[in-house]
Amino acid sequence: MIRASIVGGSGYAGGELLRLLLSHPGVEVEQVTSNAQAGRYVHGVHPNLRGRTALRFVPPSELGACDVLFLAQPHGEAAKSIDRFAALAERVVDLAADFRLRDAETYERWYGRPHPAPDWLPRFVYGLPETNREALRGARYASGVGCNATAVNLALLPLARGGAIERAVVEVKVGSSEGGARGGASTHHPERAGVVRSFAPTGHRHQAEMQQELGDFELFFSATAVELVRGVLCTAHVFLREDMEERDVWRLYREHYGDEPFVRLVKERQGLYRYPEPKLVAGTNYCDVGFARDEGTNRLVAISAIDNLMKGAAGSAVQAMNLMLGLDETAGLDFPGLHPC
Amino acid sequence: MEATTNTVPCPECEAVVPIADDTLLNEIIPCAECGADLEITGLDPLTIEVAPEIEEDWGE
Repeated sequence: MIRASIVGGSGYAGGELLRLLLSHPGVEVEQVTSNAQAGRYVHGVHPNLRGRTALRFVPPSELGACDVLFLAQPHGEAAKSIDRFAALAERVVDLAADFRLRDAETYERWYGRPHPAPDWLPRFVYGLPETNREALRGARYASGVGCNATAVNLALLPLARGGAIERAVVEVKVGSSEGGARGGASTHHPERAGVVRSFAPTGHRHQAEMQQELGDFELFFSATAVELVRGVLCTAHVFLREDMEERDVWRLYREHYGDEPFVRLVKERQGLYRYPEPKLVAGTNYCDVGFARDEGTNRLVAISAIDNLMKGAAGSAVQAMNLMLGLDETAGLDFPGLHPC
Repeated sequence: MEATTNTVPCPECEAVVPIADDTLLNEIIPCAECGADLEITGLDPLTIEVAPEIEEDWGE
């Protein structure tokens, strides 16, 4: 069995990761750290795990050696201690934003501060299997993925790789769990309930990951918080270099995603769910992708839906780990979701 | 289980649509990928078209 530990396991992404790893057929969870929750049973913080494990949180100072170490700390923390973490584990997967970008200059531009460990950036593989599968196989270090970036990247990847995009105007509608487990004035229930909040109409940091993975075209991005706990719905208005027939778009997406275990094409002519819908992928590692042509124009609307804590965080991290260790890529990730939910 | 020795491309999305050997003329077959209702318009040679459908009011 692979021995895995989680640093910073009291947050939502850490809890989701723990949920997945406890059911993973090839992994045994050794330690879960938390400064604030040290000594408490993990089910005290993640009540869905009651009866599934007797693990207690340990302080980070007690972290021991393991085969794969997951870092689920707030942004900026992993980079400060990466030398120590790398000495404890042969393989490291960081779910935060510290090692997602390839160069320190881009990091500083988007995150507003110098990178604490720039020498480590080239050692990490961006942890989205759909763009970096071969690089992840056998890799020692993988970054996590931005949840919004993942929804956008997977909605646009076939078009971007096909050189079809002139520019794209993209909006995501996101759930409250993207904001993490720590509350504040903006997440206080009377303030958060019922909002449709334009929290990042411009300047969202995940745009750097989109441009890194999708390549060179004009991309404009906005994010809106809506009344969801989990979920991202991406609506991407793509202005094509040349108009494409419906069947050409189908062919492009099918060629790109036909063998992908966690990307499903959803574009139904009838029924209740004709396009991707976040609630149908809640708790799953799926990204559902669809599209609609705007007849007579060069606009194509690409749509995707993910669970931000799964495909947008812990699910992709486990998928990346499976590739790094040569395991079945889908191991531990087979939950098909709920309907109705 | 139906025998499916023939396949045709969906005229809507180009997915591979299996056609059972005992399929009848004018039979309606759904495409598993795009959900289009497809009508068998010929058996020899096998031809298929998107069946006419009644539009629904969505968000009217």
